[in-house]
Amino acid sequence: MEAINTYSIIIGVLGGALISFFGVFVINRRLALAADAYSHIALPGVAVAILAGIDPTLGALAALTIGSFVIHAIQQKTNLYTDTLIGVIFSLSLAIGLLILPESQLESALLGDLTTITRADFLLGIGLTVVLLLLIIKMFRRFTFITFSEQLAQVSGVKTGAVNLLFLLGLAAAVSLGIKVTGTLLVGSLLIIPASAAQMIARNFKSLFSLATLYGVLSVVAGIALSALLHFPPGPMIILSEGLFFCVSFLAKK
Amino acid sequence: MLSVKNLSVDINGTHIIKDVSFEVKKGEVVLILGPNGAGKTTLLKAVAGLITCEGEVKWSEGVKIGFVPQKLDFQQNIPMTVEELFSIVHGIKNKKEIEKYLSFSRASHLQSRQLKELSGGELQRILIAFVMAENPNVLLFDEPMAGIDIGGEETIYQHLQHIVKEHGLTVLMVSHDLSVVFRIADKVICLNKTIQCIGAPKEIKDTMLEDLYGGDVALYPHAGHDH
Repeated sequence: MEAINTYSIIIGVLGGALISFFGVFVINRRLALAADAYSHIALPGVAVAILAGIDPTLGALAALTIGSFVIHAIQQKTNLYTDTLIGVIFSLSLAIGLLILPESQLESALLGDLTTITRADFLLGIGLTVVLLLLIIKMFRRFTFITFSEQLAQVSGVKTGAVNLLFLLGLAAAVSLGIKVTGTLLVGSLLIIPASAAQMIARNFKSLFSLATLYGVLSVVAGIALSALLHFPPGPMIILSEGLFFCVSFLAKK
Repeated sequence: MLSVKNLSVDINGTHIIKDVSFEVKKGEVVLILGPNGAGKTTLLKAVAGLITCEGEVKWSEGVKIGFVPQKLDFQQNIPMTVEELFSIVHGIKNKKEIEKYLSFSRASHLQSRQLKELSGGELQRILIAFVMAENPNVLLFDEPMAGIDIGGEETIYQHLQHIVKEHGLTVLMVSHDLSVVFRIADKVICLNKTIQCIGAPKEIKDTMLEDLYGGDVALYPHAGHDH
Protein backbone atom coordinates (compact mmCIF):
# COMPACT_ATOMS: atom_id res chain seq x y z
CA MET A 1 0.00 0.00 0.00
CA GLU A 2 1.23 3.46 -0.88
CA ALA A 3 1.97 6.00 1.82
CA ILE A 4 -0.55 8.65 2.76
CA ASN A 5 0.49 12.03 1.35
CA THR A 6 -0.34 15.60 2.33
CA TYR A 7 -3.02 15.78 -0.36
CA SER A 8 -4.79 12.77 1.14
CA ILE A 9 -4.78 14.24 4.63
CA ILE A 10 -6.13 17.64 3.49
CA ILE A 11 -8.87 16.12 1.32
CA GLY A 12 -9.71 13.58 4.04
CA VAL A 13 -10.05 16.23 6.74
CA LEU A 14 -11.99 18.70 4.57
CA GLY A 15 -14.25 15.92 3.30
CA GLY A 16 -14.77 14.50 6.80
CA ALA A 17 -15.73 17.93 8.16
CA LEU A 18 -18.09 19.05 5.39
CA ILE A 19 -19.78 15.72 4.77
CA SER A 20 -20.45 15.23 8.50
CA PHE A 21 -21.83 18.78 8.69
CA PHE A 22 -24.16 18.12 5.74
CA GLY A 23 -25.08 14.78 7.32
CA VAL A 24 -26.93 16.63 10.12
CA PHE A 25 -29.53 17.74 7.55
CA VAL A 26 -29.59 14.27 6.00
CA ILE A 27 -30.40 12.37 9.20
CA ASN A 28 -32.92 14.96 10.41
CA ARG A 29 -34.75 14.82 7.09
CA ARG A 30 -34.91 11.06 7.71
CA LEU A 31 -32.90 10.40 4.57
CA ALA A 32 -30.10 8.42 6.25
CA LEU A 33 -30.62 5.16 4.40
CA ALA A 34 -31.75 6.93 1.25
CA ALA A 35 -28.52 8.97 1.24
CA ASP A 36 -26.52 5.76 1.58
CA ALA A 37 -28.34 4.32 -1.42
CA TYR A 38 -28.01 7.64 -3.26
CA SER A 39 -24.21 7.40 -3.05
CA HIS A 40 -24.37 4.25 -5.21
CA ILE A 41 -25.81 6.30 -8.08
CA ALA A 42 -22.16 7.39 -8.53
CA LEU A 43 -21.07 3.91 -9.60
CA PRO A 44 -21.87 4.04 -13.35
CA GLY A 45 -20.14 7.45 -13.52
CA VAL A 46 -17.08 6.04 -11.77
CA ALA A 47 -17.12 3.06 -14.17
CA VAL A 48 -17.32 5.22 -17.30
CA ALA A 49 -14.56 7.53 -15.98
CA ILE A 50 -12.24 4.58 -15.26
CA LEU A 51 -12.84 3.14 -18.75
CA ALA A 52 -12.27 6.58 -20.35
CA GLY A 53 -9.15 7.18 -18.26
CA ILE A 54 -10.44 10.33 -16.55
CA ASP A 55 -10.76 11.16 -12.86
CA PRO A 56 -13.43 8.89 -11.26
CA THR A 57 -14.55 11.78 -9.02
CA LEU A 58 -15.64 13.68 -12.14
CA GLY A 59 -17.59 10.63 -13.30
CA ALA A 60 -19.20 10.26 -9.88
CA LEU A 61 -20.17 13.94 -9.81
CA ALA A 62 -21.67 13.73 -13.31
CA ALA A 63 -23.69 10.59 -12.49
CA LEU A 64 -24.95 12.03 -9.18
CA THR A 65 -25.88 15.37 -10.77
CA ILE A 66 -27.83 13.65 -13.55
CA GLY A 67 -29.41 11.34 -10.94
CA SER A 68 -30.48 14.36 -8.84
CA PHE A 69 -32.18 16.05 -11.80
CA VAL A 70 -33.92 12.80 -12.80
CA ILE A 71 -35.20 12.26 -9.23
CA HIS A 72 -36.36 15.88 -9.03
CA ALA A 73 -38.10 15.74 -12.44
CA ILE A 74 -39.99 12.53 -11.61
CA GLN A 75 -40.91 13.86 -8.17
CA GLN A 76 -42.51 16.97 -9.70
CA LYS A 77 -44.75 14.81 -11.90
CA THR A 78 -45.69 12.04 -9.45
CA ASN A 79 -46.62 11.62 -5.79
CA LEU A 80 -43.58 9.46 -5.00
CA TYR A 81 -41.36 10.31 -2.01
CA THR A 82 -37.68 11.25 -2.42
CA ASP A 83 -36.42 8.07 -0.71
CA THR A 84 -38.60 5.87 -2.96
CA LEU A 85 -37.20 7.51 -6.10
CA ILE A 86 -33.66 7.26 -4.78
CA GLY A 87 -34.37 3.53 -4.31
CA VAL A 88 -35.42 3.17 -7.95
CA ILE A 89 -32.57 5.20 -9.47
CA PHE A 90 -29.95 3.67 -7.17
CA SER A 91 -30.86 0.08 -8.11
CA LEU A 92 -30.75 0.90 -11.83
CA SER A 93 -27.44 2.76 -11.44
CA LEU A 94 -25.87 -0.06 -9.49
CA ALA A 95 -26.93 -2.59 -12.15
CA ILE A 96 -25.50 -0.43 -14.95
CA GLY A 97 -22.29 0.22 -12.99
CA LEU A 98 -21.71 -3.46 -12.26
CA LEU A 99 -22.30 -4.34 -15.93
CA ILE A 100 -19.82 -1.87 -17.39
CA LEU A 101 -17.11 -1.83 -14.72
CA PRO A 102 -14.18 -4.22 -15.35
CA GLU A 103 -13.90 -6.70 -12.46
CA SER A 104 -10.29 -5.72 -11.79
CA GLN A 105 -11.41 -2.14 -11.02
CA LEU A 106 -14.40 -3.07 -8.89
CA GLU A 107 -12.64 -3.10 -5.52
CA SER A 108 -11.01 0.28 -5.99
CA ALA A 109 -14.32 1.83 -7.18
CA LEU A 110 -16.28 0.36 -4.27
CA LEU A 111 -13.73 0.95 -1.51
CA GLY A 112 -11.86 4.04 -2.81
CA ASP A 113 -8.27 4.71 -1.92
CA LEU A 114 -7.17 7.80 -0.09
CA THR A 115 -3.54 6.82 -0.68
CA THR A 116 -3.75 7.37 -4.43
CA ILE A 117 -4.77 11.03 -4.43
CA THR A 118 -2.90 12.94 -7.13
CA ARG A 119 -2.47 16.69 -7.58
CA ALA A 120 -5.38 16.70 -10.06
CA ASP A 121 -7.61 14.80 -7.54
CA PHE A 122 -6.56 17.27 -4.89
CA LEU A 123 -7.53 20.31 -6.95
CA LEU A 124 -10.86 18.72 -7.87
CA GLY A 125 -11.45 17.93 -4.18
CA ILE A 126 -10.72 21.54 -3.22
CA GLY A 127 -13.14 22.70 -5.93
CA LEU A 128 -15.90 20.45 -4.56
CA THR A 129 -15.17 21.65 -1.02
CA VAL A 130 -15.56 25.29 -2.07
CA VAL A 131 -18.82 24.56 -3.94
CA LEU A 132 -20.28 22.65 -0.99
CA LEU A 133 -19.17 25.28 1.50
CA LEU A 134 -20.74 28.10 -0.53
CA LEU A 135 -23.95 26.12 -0.92
CA ILE A 136 -24.17 25.45 2.83
CA ILE A 137 -23.49 29.11 3.69
CA LYS A 138 -26.00 30.40 1.15
CA MET A 139 -28.72 27.84 1.86
CA PHE A 140 -28.26 27.17 5.59
CA ARG A 141 -31.43 29.01 6.63
CA ARG A 142 -33.59 27.35 3.98
CA PHE A 143 -32.11 23.88 4.51
CA THR A 144 -32.84 24.30 8.23
CA PHE A 145 -36.38 25.45 7.47
CA ILE A 146 -37.25 22.47 5.22
CA THR A 147 -35.59 20.13 7.71
CA PHE A 148 -37.72 21.55 10.51
CA SER A 149 -40.93 21.49 8.46
CA GLU A 150 -41.14 21.39 4.68
CA GLN A 151 -44.84 22.20 4.87
CA LEU A 152 -44.34 25.31 6.99
CA ALA A 153 -41.49 26.42 4.72
CA GLN A 154 -43.83 26.08 1.74
CA VAL A 155 -46.61 28.14 3.29
CA SER A 156 -44.02 30.76 4.28
CA GLY A 157 -43.17 31.24 0.62
CA VAL A 158 -40.00 29.10 0.38
CA LYS A 159 -39.74 27.47 -3.06
CA THR A 160 -39.35 23.99 -1.60
CA GLY A 161 -38.98 22.25 -4.99
CA ALA A 162 -35.92 24.34 -5.87
CA VAL A 163 -34.48 24.04 -2.35
CA ASN A 164 -34.89 20.24 -2.49
CA LEU A 165 -33.06 20.13 -5.83
CA LEU A 166 -30.20 22.20 -4.39
CA PHE A 167 -30.15 19.86 -1.40
CA LEU A 168 -29.74 16.85 -3.72
CA LEU A 169 -26.99 18.67 -5.65
CA GLY A 170 -25.26 19.41 -2.33
CA LEU A 171 -25.53 15.73 -1.55
CA ALA A 172 -23.99 15.01 -4.97
CA ALA A 173 -21.00 17.25 -4.15
CA ALA A 174 -20.63 15.72 -0.67
CA VAL A 175 -20.78 12.14 -1.95
CA SER A 176 -18.35 12.85 -4.82
CA LEU A 177 -15.91 14.28 -2.29
CA GLY A 178 -16.45 11.39 0.10
CA ILE A 179 -15.89 8.74 -2.56
CA LYS A 180 -12.21 9.74 -2.60
CA VAL A 181 -12.08 9.19 1.16
CA THR A 182 -13.97 5.92 1.65
CA GLY A 183 -15.14 4.71 -1.77
CA THR A 184 -18.68 4.31 -3.15
CA LEU A 185 -19.66 1.52 -0.77
CA LEU A 186 -18.85 3.28 2.50
CA VAL A 187 -19.38 6.97 1.71
CA GLY A 188 -22.90 6.94 3.22
CA SER A 189 -21.37 6.29 6.64
CA LEU A 190 -19.61 9.69 6.54
CA LEU A 191 -23.02 11.30 6.15
CA ILE A 192 -24.77 9.25 8.80
CA ILE A 193 -22.49 8.16 11.67
CA PRO A 194 -20.83 11.43 12.89
CA ALA A 195 -24.16 13.30 12.66
CA SER A 196 -26.10 10.61 14.53
CA ALA A 197 -23.34 10.30 17.17
CA ALA A 198 -23.58 14.07 17.71
CA GLN A 199 -27.38 14.06 17.77
CA MET A 200 -27.44 11.70 20.77
CA ILE A 201 -25.77 14.22 23.07
CA ALA A 202 -26.17 17.70 21.48
CA ARG A 203 -28.19 20.16 23.56
CA ASN A 204 -28.87 22.61 20.74
CA PHE A 205 -28.51 23.12 16.97
CA LYS A 206 -25.15 24.87 17.18
CA SER A 207 -23.55 22.14 19.28
CA LEU A 208 -25.07 19.50 16.99
CA PHE A 209 -23.25 20.86 13.92
CA SER A 210 -20.02 21.56 15.83
CA LEU A 211 -19.90 18.07 17.32
CA ALA A 212 -20.80 16.29 14.05
CA THR A 213 -18.03 18.21 12.24
CA LEU A 214 -15.53 17.47 15.01
CA TYR A 215 -16.39 13.75 14.96
CA GLY A 216 -15.99 13.73 11.16
CA VAL A 217 -12.52 15.32 11.29
CA LEU A 218 -11.30 13.19 14.21
CA SER A 219 -12.55 10.00 12.52
CA VAL A 220 -10.59 10.76 9.34
CA VAL A 221 -7.41 11.63 11.28
CA ALA A 222 -7.74 8.56 13.52
CA GLY A 223 -8.59 6.34 10.53
CA ILE A 224 -5.57 7.53 8.53
CA ALA A 225 -3.26 7.08 11.55
CA LEU A 226 -4.59 3.57 12.26
CA SER A 227 -4.30 2.68 8.59
CA ALA A 228 -0.63 3.72 8.53
CA LEU A 229 0.04 1.91 11.79
CA LEU A 230 -1.78 -1.35 11.08
CA HIS A 231 -1.36 -1.42 7.28
CA PHE A 232 -5.09 -1.64 6.56
CA PRO A 233 -6.89 0.41 3.88
CA PRO A 234 -7.87 3.86 5.26
CA GLY A 235 -11.58 3.76 4.21
CA PRO A 236 -12.71 1.00 6.58
CA MET A 237 -10.45 2.33 9.36
CA ILE A 238 -12.14 5.75 9.08
CA ILE A 239 -15.58 4.14 9.36
CA LEU A 240 -14.49 2.07 12.38
CA SER A 241 -13.21 5.27 14.03
CA GLU A 242 -16.64 6.85 13.43
CA GLY A 243 -18.17 3.78 15.08
CA LEU A 244 -15.92 4.38 18.08
CA PHE A 245 -17.17 7.97 18.43
CA PHE A 246 -20.73 6.71 18.09
CA CYS A 247 -20.07 4.43 21.08
CA VAL A 248 -18.50 7.32 23.01
CA SER A 249 -21.65 9.43 22.44
CA PHE A 250 -23.87 6.53 23.41
CA LEU A 251 -21.99 6.02 26.66
CA ALA A 252 -21.88 9.77 27.35
CA LYS A 253 -25.64 10.09 26.86
CA LYS A 254 -27.36 10.59 30.19
CA MET B 1 -58.59 43.32 1.00
CA LEU B 2 -59.66 40.03 -0.58
CA SER B 3 -62.13 39.30 -3.33
CA VAL B 4 -62.94 35.69 -4.18
CA LYS B 5 -65.14 34.98 -7.20
CA ASN B 6 -66.44 31.60 -8.38
CA LEU B 7 -63.60 29.72 -6.75
CA SER B 8 -63.59 25.97 -7.45
CA VAL B 9 -61.05 23.31 -6.60
CA ASP B 10 -61.08 19.83 -8.16
CA ILE B 11 -58.74 17.12 -6.96
CA ASN B 12 -58.59 13.97 -9.11
CA GLY B 13 -61.97 14.82 -10.66
CA THR B 14 -63.74 15.38 -7.32
CA HIS B 15 -65.16 18.80 -6.43
CA ILE B 16 -63.65 19.83 -3.11
CA ILE B 17 -65.16 23.32 -3.25
CA LYS B 18 -67.39 24.79 -5.94
CA ASP B 19 -68.35 28.33 -6.97
CA VAL B 20 -67.30 30.01 -3.74
CA SER B 21 -67.53 33.81 -3.75
CA PHE B 22 -67.02 36.24 -0.86
CA GLU B 23 -65.21 39.42 0.10
CA VAL B 24 -63.09 40.31 3.09
CA LYS B 25 -62.45 43.89 4.20
CA LYS B 26 -59.24 45.10 5.81
CA GLY B 27 -59.20 44.37 9.54
CA GLU B 28 -62.05 41.85 9.40
CA VAL B 29 -61.93 38.57 11.29
CA VAL B 30 -63.67 35.93 9.20
CA LEU B 31 -64.59 32.55 10.64
CA ILE B 32 -65.03 29.62 8.25
CA LEU B 33 -67.34 26.91 9.61
CA GLY B 34 -68.26 23.55 8.18
CA PRO B 35 -68.31 19.80 8.86
CA ASN B 36 -65.35 17.49 8.18
CA GLY B 37 -64.63 17.26 4.45
CA ALA B 38 -66.43 20.54 3.73
CA GLY B 39 -63.35 22.00 2.02
CA LYS B 40 -62.37 24.52 4.72
CA THR B 41 -58.63 23.77 4.59
CA THR B 42 -58.75 23.65 0.79
CA LEU B 43 -60.37 27.10 0.73
CA LEU B 44 -57.63 28.54 2.94
CA LYS B 45 -54.91 26.95 0.80
CA ALA B 46 -56.55 28.23 -2.39
CA VAL B 47 -56.72 31.84 -1.17
CA ALA B 48 -53.10 31.53 0.01
CA GLY B 49 -52.12 30.46 -3.51
CA LEU B 50 -50.75 27.12 -2.32
CA ILE B 51 -52.91 25.00 -4.62
CA THR B 52 -54.17 25.48 -8.14
CA CYS B 53 -57.80 26.50 -8.50
CA GLU B 54 -60.33 27.87 -10.96
CA GLY B 55 -61.95 31.26 -10.51
CA GLU B 56 -60.54 34.48 -9.14
CA VAL B 57 -58.65 35.22 -5.94
CA LYS B 58 -57.68 38.87 -5.77
CA TRP B 59 -55.72 40.36 -2.86
CA SER B 60 -55.03 44.09 -2.36
CA GLU B 61 -51.49 45.24 -3.04
CA GLY B 62 -48.87 44.84 -0.32
CA VAL B 63 -50.52 41.87 1.31
CA LYS B 64 -48.23 39.60 3.34
CA ILE B 65 -49.88 36.34 4.32
CA GLY B 66 -49.00 34.32 7.40
CA PHE B 67 -50.40 30.79 7.37
CA VAL B 68 -50.75 28.55 10.42
CA PRO B 69 -51.53 25.05 9.12
CA GLN B 70 -53.63 22.52 11.00
CA LYS B 71 -51.36 19.51 10.85
CA LEU B 72 -47.65 19.95 10.63
CA ASP B 73 -44.91 17.60 9.50
CA PHE B 74 -42.93 18.90 12.44
CA GLN B 75 -39.41 17.47 12.96
CA GLN B 76 -39.54 17.80 16.72
CA ASN B 77 -36.61 15.51 17.42
CA ILE B 78 -33.95 18.00 16.25
CA PRO B 79 -31.77 19.22 19.12
CA MET B 80 -32.86 22.84 18.64
CA THR B 81 -34.05 25.45 21.10
CA VAL B 82 -37.06 27.69 20.47
CA GLU B 83 -34.68 30.65 20.35
CA GLU B 84 -32.53 28.96 17.69
CA LEU B 85 -35.62 28.28 15.58
CA PHE B 86 -36.35 32.01 15.46
CA SER B 87 -32.73 33.14 15.08
CA ILE B 88 -31.78 30.68 12.32
CA VAL B 89 -34.95 30.48 10.25
CA HIS B 90 -36.17 34.06 10.69
CA GLY B 91 -32.73 35.62 11.27
CA ILE B 92 -33.91 37.34 14.49
CA LYS B 93 -30.81 37.55 16.69
CA ASN B 94 -32.24 39.91 19.31
CA LYS B 95 -33.54 37.90 22.29
CA LYS B 96 -35.97 40.65 23.32
CA GLU B 97 -37.51 40.63 19.85
CA ILE B 98 -37.94 36.84 19.96
CA GLU B 99 -39.56 37.23 23.37
CA LYS B 100 -41.94 39.83 21.93
CA TYR B 101 -43.19 37.40 19.27
CA LEU B 102 -43.43 34.54 21.76
CA SER B 103 -45.51 36.75 24.06
CA PHE B 104 -48.15 36.97 21.30
CA SER B 105 -49.11 33.39 22.09
CA ARG B 106 -48.12 33.48 25.77
CA ALA B 107 -45.04 31.37 25.10
CA SER B 108 -42.23 33.66 26.36
CA HIS B 109 -41.36 31.17 29.11
CA LEU B 110 -40.53 28.55 26.45
CA GLN B 111 -37.78 30.63 24.77
CA SER B 112 -34.79 28.60 25.96
CA ARG B 113 -36.50 25.21 25.91
CA GLN B 114 -35.62 22.47 23.42
CA LEU B 115 -38.31 21.72 20.82
CA LYS B 116 -38.34 18.04 21.74
CA GLU B 117 -39.29 18.87 25.34
CA LEU B 118 -42.48 20.69 24.32
CA SER B 119 -46.02 19.33 24.49
CA GLY B 120 -48.37 19.49 21.50
CA GLY B 121 -50.12 22.57 22.86
CA GLU B 122 -46.83 24.34 23.59
CA LEU B 123 -45.60 23.62 20.06
CA GLN B 124 -48.80 25.10 18.66
CA ARG B 125 -48.13 28.31 20.61
CA ILE B 126 -44.58 28.40 19.25
CA LEU B 127 -45.94 27.91 15.75
CA ILE B 128 -48.35 30.85 16.07
CA ALA B 129 -45.52 33.08 17.36
CA PHE B 130 -43.26 31.80 14.57
CA VAL B 131 -45.78 32.87 11.92
CA MET B 132 -46.32 36.24 13.65
CA ALA B 133 -42.55 36.82 13.39
CA GLU B 134 -42.97 36.99 9.61
CA ASN B 135 -44.88 40.24 10.28
CA PRO B 136 -47.92 39.35 8.19
CA ASN B 137 -50.84 41.71 7.67
CA VAL B 138 -53.15 38.80 6.86
CA LEU B 139 -53.37 35.68 9.01
CA LEU B 140 -54.80 32.40 7.76
CA PHE B 141 -55.47 30.07 10.69
CA ASP B 142 -56.47 26.47 10.13
CA GLU B 143 -57.89 25.38 13.47
CA PRO B 144 -55.08 27.14 15.32
CA MET B 145 -56.16 26.00 18.74
CA ALA B 146 -56.35 22.26 18.05
CA GLY B 147 -54.39 20.50 20.77
CA ILE B 148 -54.33 23.46 23.15
CA ASP B 149 -56.09 22.96 26.46
CA ILE B 150 -59.31 24.90 27.03
CA GLY B 151 -57.84 27.41 29.48
CA GLY B 152 -54.91 28.10 27.17
CA GLU B 153 -57.22 28.31 24.21
CA GLU B 154 -59.29 31.01 25.81
CA THR B 155 -56.12 32.95 26.61
CA ILE B 156 -54.81 32.67 23.06
CA TYR B 157 -58.10 33.88 21.60
CA GLN B 158 -57.97 36.88 23.92
CA HIS B 159 -54.42 37.55 22.77
CA LEU B 160 -55.36 37.02 19.17
CA GLN B 161 -58.13 39.58 19.56
CA HIS B 162 -55.62 42.01 21.05
CA ILE B 163 -53.02 41.41 18.29
CA VAL B 164 -55.61 41.70 15.53
CA LYS B 165 -56.80 45.06 16.83
CA GLU B 166 -53.36 46.43 17.62
CA HIS B 167 -51.77 45.46 14.31
CA GLY B 168 -54.86 45.97 12.17
CA LEU B 169 -54.63 42.38 10.94
CA THR B 170 -57.10 40.71 8.66
CA VAL B 171 -57.86 37.13 9.70
CA LEU B 172 -59.43 34.12 7.98
CA MET B 173 -59.84 31.32 10.46
CA VAL B 174 -61.16 27.78 10.34
CA SER B 175 -62.40 26.67 13.74
CA HIS B 176 -64.96 24.43 15.39
CA ASP B 177 -64.86 26.39 18.63
CA LEU B 178 -68.00 28.36 17.89
CA SER B 179 -68.66 29.87 21.29
CA VAL B 180 -65.13 31.21 21.78
CA VAL B 181 -64.57 32.47 18.26
CA PHE B 182 -67.98 34.15 18.21
CA ARG B 183 -66.57 36.99 20.27
CA ILE B 184 -63.90 38.01 17.80
CA ALA B 185 -65.44 37.14 14.41
CA ASP B 186 -66.87 39.93 12.26
CA LYS B 187 -68.12 37.57 9.58
CA VAL B 188 -69.01 33.88 9.42
CA ILE B 189 -68.85 31.76 6.26
CA CYS B 190 -70.67 28.42 6.43
CA LEU B 191 -69.09 26.06 3.94
CA ASN B 192 -69.99 22.60 2.76
CA LYS B 193 -68.33 22.41 -0.67
CA THR B 194 -70.41 25.48 -1.57
CA ILE B 195 -71.27 28.47 0.60
CA GLN B 196 -74.34 27.63 2.72
CA CYS B 197 -74.61 30.90 4.59
CA ILE B 198 -72.58 34.06 5.07
CA GLY B 199 -72.93 37.11 7.31
CA ALA B 200 -72.22 38.67 10.69
CA PRO B 201 -72.38 36.19 13.62
CA LYS B 202 -75.70 37.63 14.81
CA GLU B 203 -77.22 36.99 11.37
CA ILE B 204 -76.31 33.29 11.47
CA LYS B 205 -79.29 31.41 12.86
CA ASP B 206 -79.01 28.13 14.76
CA THR B 207 -81.13 26.44 12.09
CA MET B 208 -78.50 27.32 9.48
CA LEU B 209 -75.82 25.64 11.60
CA GLU B 210 -78.02 22.59 12.16
CA ASP B 211 -78.38 22.32 8.38
CA LEU B 212 -74.61 22.72 8.00
CA TYR B 213 -73.52 20.23 10.65
CA GLY B 214 -76.60 18.03 10.51
CA GLY B 215 -77.15 18.08 14.28
CA ASP B 216 -78.05 20.05 17.34
CA VAL B 217 -75.59 22.92 17.37
CA ALA B 218 -75.83 26.56 18.31
CA LEU B 219 -73.73 29.67 17.95
CA TYR B 220 -73.91 31.63 21.18
CA PRO B 221 -71.78 34.16 23.00
CA HIS B 222 -70.66 33.37 26.51
CA ALA B 223 -69.94 36.78 27.87
CA GLY B 224 -67.45 37.47 30.64
CA HIS B 225 -65.66 34.33 31.78
CA ASP B 226 -62.20 35.76 31.26
CA HIS B 227 -59.24 33.76 32.53
